[in-house]
Amino acid sequence: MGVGIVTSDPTAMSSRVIERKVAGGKLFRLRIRRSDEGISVQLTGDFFLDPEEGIGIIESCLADCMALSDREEAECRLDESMTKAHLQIIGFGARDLVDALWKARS
Amino acid sequence: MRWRFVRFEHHDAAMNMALDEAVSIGIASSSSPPTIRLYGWQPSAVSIGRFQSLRDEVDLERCRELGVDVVRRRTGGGAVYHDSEGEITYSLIAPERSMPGDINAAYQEICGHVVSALAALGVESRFAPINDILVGGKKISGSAQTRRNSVFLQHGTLLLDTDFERMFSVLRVSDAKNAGRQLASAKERVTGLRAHTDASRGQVLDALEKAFTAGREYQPGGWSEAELQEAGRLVATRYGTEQWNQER
Repeated sequence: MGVGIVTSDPTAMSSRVIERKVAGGKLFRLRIRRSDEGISVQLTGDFFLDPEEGIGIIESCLADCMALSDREEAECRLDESMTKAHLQIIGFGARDLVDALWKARS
Repeated sequence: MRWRFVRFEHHDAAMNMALDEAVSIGIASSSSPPTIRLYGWQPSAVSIGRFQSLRDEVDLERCRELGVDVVRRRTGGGAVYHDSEGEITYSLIAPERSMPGDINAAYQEICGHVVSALAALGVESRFAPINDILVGGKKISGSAQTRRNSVFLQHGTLLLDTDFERMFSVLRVSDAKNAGRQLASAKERVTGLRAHTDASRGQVLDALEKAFTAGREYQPGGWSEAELQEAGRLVATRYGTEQWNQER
């Protein structure tokens, strides 16, 4: 995996963006927003996901994982959610997403 | 299975994406044949991948100044600048059962048609997983695929001439200080067919038609009234709307 870049989103003080380019794979960004309504995570990038409608499942699970303290548990939970929904990401894996999420939390 | 081959034609960005989806819908309802099409973008356009952030990837103000269209594809992958004269785009749309079940195998099979076309033009190239074709180590073609309602779609580009200055004036560079380096880097990583052959556009189109139809029963054809109506609906409700294009 390439070097992660963590930046602040200039449009919102309560947002954080982390960008990763997976070696031999694809680029993704996690945009994490904290508001009175809770935490939301948006996943963007040049990856492939089958089926495409599953993006909401991944984003929702990543937001839920923000409340966890155990990184392994987060990865298991994301894996389970993706397997249950028959989601296949081409370009990176659940571990890459959780790694990025944990970096954004730190 | 008899294929339809739609020879090269220009459309605007929203119509190009709408035609791909209209054919997909038609195949799902058994009213459209499996289809291979070659096309261009008039005016020039940027297409972004299904999951990309428009504001992260595209300088919309610059696009407006240059009259460059912007559209979100329903396939994944990255942002692509489609020069109206500098590239050829293809789509292959077919029942999913007729294509390899494995995503990577499907990329390899279809990109293989482009590799064959380039070989017929005397240009040696190779498929580079996940979804690229390289000539001399530089990218000359990228592609993206999706499967929905048991219909398979792959579309991809073949670069002829690349105007890097224009490309990077509309594609957003995350760190402005790196813009110059990125431009130089892109020239090292990307190439167009013109740098490797004197073949005319017509010869390139012929080579692509032969390669994509090899071993397939096919006939040249155009769009049905139903497909054009569906495409028009999709332009009005999706590909021509800010709601879709600015979804992320």
